[in-house]
Order: sequence, then structure tokens, then C-alpha cells
Amino acid sequence: MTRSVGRTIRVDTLARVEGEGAMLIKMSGTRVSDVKLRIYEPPRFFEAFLRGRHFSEVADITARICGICPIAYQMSAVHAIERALGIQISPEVRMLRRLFYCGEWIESHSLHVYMLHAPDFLGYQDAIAMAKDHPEIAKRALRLKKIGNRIVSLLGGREIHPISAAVGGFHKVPDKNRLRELEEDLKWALDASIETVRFTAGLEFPDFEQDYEFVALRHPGEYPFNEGRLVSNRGLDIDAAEYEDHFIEQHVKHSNALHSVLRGRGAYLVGPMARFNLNFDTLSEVARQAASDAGLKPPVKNPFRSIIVRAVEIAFACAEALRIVREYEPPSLPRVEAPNRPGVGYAITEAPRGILYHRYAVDEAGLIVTAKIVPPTSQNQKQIEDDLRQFAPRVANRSLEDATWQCEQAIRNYDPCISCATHFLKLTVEQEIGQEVGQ
Amino acid sequence: MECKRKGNVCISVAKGIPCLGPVTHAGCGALCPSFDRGCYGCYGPMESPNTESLTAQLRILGQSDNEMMRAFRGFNAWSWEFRKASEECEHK
Repeated sequence: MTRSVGRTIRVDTLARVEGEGAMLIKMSGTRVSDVKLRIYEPPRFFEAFLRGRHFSEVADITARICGICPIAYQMSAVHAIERALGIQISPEVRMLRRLFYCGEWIESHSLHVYMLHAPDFLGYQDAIAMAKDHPEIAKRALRLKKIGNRIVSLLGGREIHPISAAVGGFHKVPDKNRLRELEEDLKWALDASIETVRFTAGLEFPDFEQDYEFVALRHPGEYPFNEGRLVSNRGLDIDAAEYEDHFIEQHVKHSNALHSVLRGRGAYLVGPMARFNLNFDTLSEVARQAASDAGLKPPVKNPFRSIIVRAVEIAFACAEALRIVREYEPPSLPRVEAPNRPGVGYAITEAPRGILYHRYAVDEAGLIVTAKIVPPTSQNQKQIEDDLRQFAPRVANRSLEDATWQCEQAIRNYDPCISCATHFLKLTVEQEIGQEVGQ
Repeated sequence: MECKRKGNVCISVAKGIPCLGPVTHAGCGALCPSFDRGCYGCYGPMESPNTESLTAQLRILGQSDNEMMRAFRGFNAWSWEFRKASEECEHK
């Protein structure tokens, strides 16, 4: 290699992320001149689709935003609308919604930890190749994911785009025995999730830490799903209604997903690491124990270690789901009445990938006047780019192939959900004239 | 048909809940009616759906033209049969 090596690390179609995105890093030696996480998947206009719809239709529509985390889109929607209408859900419904979210976390996190992220650490192009050498890992992954799916479909009717969430509660709720049927599976899942924490903790991690602003919900008594104040490690402490006073969405040319920034501060991090660092004290005992056995304690600042945090959250979700199926008593009514009433409502819930903000204005006929949805991945985009800017110089001496691999892995730390497609890599190497590339 | 095969009591007839089941492609196992709610037609129109007869029935249940128009403009808004039905409600 010569002294100032100029090179471009570029992946036109990111693999093992949900959706269609590309990565571009331009470097000269160890100096990074440009970083772009390019999201070229076309805009989907959901906020506009929702205008003029009755509030009762919203959860069916927003569920379609994501095939992996439809519950998040349903939960933020119904909670925001309930707030606009001024209605209170019953404690039993609240509990069922937590269980619903547990199912989604289990299936989504298992998918990412094992199928999308683990191959990076073990040196495989994909989970299929990994499964050939590690069939027991693949089997555990599939069964865990299936148990998460089973919870979602029991409560929601089907695993993907469930149909039972409603403003005020659920269209129909299960009886006690149906939930009890999950108990055996969940006991196995809890053990498997602790094994998952152990497995992820044994992986090798690049030595890389960042000084993040972590943003997550915080609830005094419980690890957050649907309720809490939005807090950060730098003093943010707000209600969902104040979200837009503090966070701004910006359009950047290279991304069809709006970038979100904290006013006056810039990039911030949402998702498992933020939740774990801000809510460690409210994790269930078994999850906290699994974390400390794995040597994981807050604040975790190495984004590559987010895979362990995700595993800890699977353990939490299994333990929480087990508690709920054992304690559940059906509500007297599956949902409370939701009258047409004008108002504006806000909600933030914790999607697997981080906070999901919804705002709806409803008119006197119950029709949606405006809708705003800020998904976790758009909030993490800037932080992903920032990670790459800091991380790329550390792999400057590696071969281009190796450097590209590691940078892609750095993106996958966030489990970005651009939407749902998986492709193989197509690499283009750009060399600056007259310079030799280290490969 | 799927409701009949499953033994579901018709939610439209028994509870007056508007339902697109009679004009929607089968395959889901009558999922929504089994959860005490109306079908929202996500599988798209069945072969030769009688949307006119359904809108007449929905009107009896108290559905407005605007509500029926929206119902046909779900995830299959552009399918010919649902589009035609929604436009008829719109221009009524």
C-alpha cells in the first residue's frame, strides 16, 4: 500500500437488512470524506393514505408498513387515536397489548440476531450457509421465531398484518385457556433465549465505542412497550405530545426516508441499546441475570454488542410473556366504546428497532385529518452514518473486501428496516486516479 | 362460504356489522368475521362478485355512500370490481 490510499467502500444493495438501501464511503487514507446511507426504495405515502379514513381503519392500514413489526405500527396508531378521543383502555387490554408486543419482539429480534446478524460474526454470507455448519443454532432460531409468531397470531389472527387490534382494545380477546397453551413453548423459549445471550456474548467484537445520545421510553415500573416518558442520557424527558418540539425530520437528497435529528444536538440512537441503557433497572430478574452473566452492563456503547442486548431483550420478552399468560384474566369487554370526537393524539411505543412516533388529528366525524409517522430506522439513519464515519478509518488497513464486510456489519448493528427484501451484494470499487487500492 | 364451513354465525345478519366477506376472495379462513369484525377485503374481489347486492344490504345496515366507498378502497382499491363499486358509491 502507498501512503495516501484513496478508496471508496460501496455496497449498492445492502444484504441482510429489511429493504433496499446502499452504502457509500469515500476515503483518502484514514480520512473519510463522504458517508451516505442511501435509501432508494420509493416513498410509500402512508400518511397521505390515512387522510380521510375513519380512525377505526387506521390500524389495518398502518399494519402494512412493516411485515416484521406490524404490531408496533398498530400499537402506536391505536394509542395515539385513543388519546385523541380521550378514552382509557382496561388494565386487561393493556396487559394483552404487552403480550402482543412480546411476541413481536421475540420474532423480530430472533430473526435479526440469528438470520441477519450472526452470519457476520461467524463469517457466512447468509443464514442458509450458516445453518449447514451450525444446524442446532438454526433450529433454535427458527423455533424461537415461531413462538413469537404464535403469540402474534393467537392475539392478532395472523402473524403478518394482524387484524385484531382496535381503538379501545381488541376486536376479540382470547380466553384464559388459549393463552395458557403458550406456557410450555414459552418455558422452552426462555431457556433458549438465555442460551442466545450466552451464544452472542461469545462472539468477537471490534473494539469500537461511541458517545451516543440514547433515546427511549421510560416507565417507572416496567421495561417499556406502550407507555412512558421519552428520555435520554442527556437530559431529555418529555411526553409524546412534545416530541415534535424536540425532534425534526429533514429531507436529505440521498435518502427517500426522512432523517430525524434532535433539535440543536443532531444524531441520536434508538432501539435495544438505548432501551437497555436507560431501563436496565426495570428488566425482569432473569434478563438482568442473563445480561450480567454475559458481562453486559449499562452503558453499552459498542454498537456491535447490540446483538447481545437484543438477545437479552428476547429473554425479557419471554419472561414477560410467561408472566402474562399465567396471570391473565380476560377483560369484561374486549374494547371500550370509541366515539367520534375531534382531537389530536400522540403516541410513542417501542418497536423492536426503537421508538415509533405517531400523531393523528381526527375530525368530528372520526375521520383522519392529518397523520404523521416517524419510524425508528429514519431516526437511526444519521447515527448509522456517523458510526460509519468513525468506524471506517479503523478498517482502513484491511483489504477492501474485509473493510466492506465490517462496514456493512456496522449498519446491521441497527437492524435497519427499510422494508422487506433481501438481496446479494453487488460491489463496485471506485479508485481515485494514480493511487493504489489496498486489495 | 368460509364462514359457513367454519360454523360462524353471520356477523352482518346477527350483529349488523358491515362485512365485505360476500364479495371477497376466499383463502384466509374467514379470519376477520371469526374475530367478531367485518372483512375488509384484503384478499381482493372474488370471481364475479355481486357488489351491487352487497351495497344494497350495507345501506340497509345504515352505511353511508362515503363509508362504502372507503370500504371498497382498501388494499385492492384498483382491482376492477372494487374500483367500479367504489366509484358507484362516490358518484351516487
